[in-house]
Amino acid sequence: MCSISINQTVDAQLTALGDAKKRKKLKKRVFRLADEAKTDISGALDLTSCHIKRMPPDLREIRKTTIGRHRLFFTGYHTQCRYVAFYLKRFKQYGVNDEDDKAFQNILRRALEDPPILEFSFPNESTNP
Amino acid sequence: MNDFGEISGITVPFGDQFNLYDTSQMKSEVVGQVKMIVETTVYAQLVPGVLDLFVKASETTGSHVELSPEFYFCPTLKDNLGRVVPLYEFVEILDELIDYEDIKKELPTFSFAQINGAISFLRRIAQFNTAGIDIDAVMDEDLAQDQVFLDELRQGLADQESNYVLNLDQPNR
Repeated sequence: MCSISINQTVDAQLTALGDAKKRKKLKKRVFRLADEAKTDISGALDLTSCHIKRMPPDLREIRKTTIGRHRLFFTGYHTQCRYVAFYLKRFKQYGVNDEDDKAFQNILRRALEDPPILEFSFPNESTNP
Repeated sequence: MNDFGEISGITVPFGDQFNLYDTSQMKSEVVGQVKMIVETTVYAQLVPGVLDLFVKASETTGSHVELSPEFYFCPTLKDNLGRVVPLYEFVEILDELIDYEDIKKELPTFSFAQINGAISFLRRIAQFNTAGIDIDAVMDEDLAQDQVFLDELRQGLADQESNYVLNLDQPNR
């Protein structure tokens, strides 16, 4: 059974969530996910989806897990049997301090600005999505 | 020697990019290109079928989930103010609200990792789009370029003195 620690930063960020029930649920979830991992058995916190691409060298080892709309950043692997959560990025609530949230559109727009790695064309078929 | 060689229709760059004596590097590049072609071809073949399934699923459930060409058919919802909420964010809200322990009570033989995996799978499916955009990767890239956020991460990472181990037996921890 592996452990997970949280620091004062995460503790404060959890407190800022406001709702004690939500806070406890979130803590329980990360505890359970860490608890299921063993030195010889990887857990949900060891998935490749936790890796963050293109981070600067000093932050290359950090990973993140998605908990609802929150993102919890942590270090450690099941082989060490210890994870350390050090930052919680809280979600931006819809309709709160936003005019017309264009984040999703921006994701799509910007992603398409990158030229495709391979281009395929199929005869007699429209290439439009 | 030409700058490019042709192997079974695949263009392989020679010259500066390869040590001509290092065939293992060349092989791995070729394998990489073949893999990419196969993946892209399979993707192109699968997309119409998946899209058809999504369109039918939307139609039979009241068309509340929309598949718009504007968003490359990524499933979205529209709120009463006309704002677009992607379906994967809706799944994130579900994930946030549910208690894994409640699910485990109903499915006691499942692990928490399996429950987490199932919900994460639904979220990933909800990110489907015909442009082949990896939405998570784009969001990661966003984070990696946000200097203010990176500085906050560094501060969090440096805050190691006050760590405490989560323990469900202690009510406050």
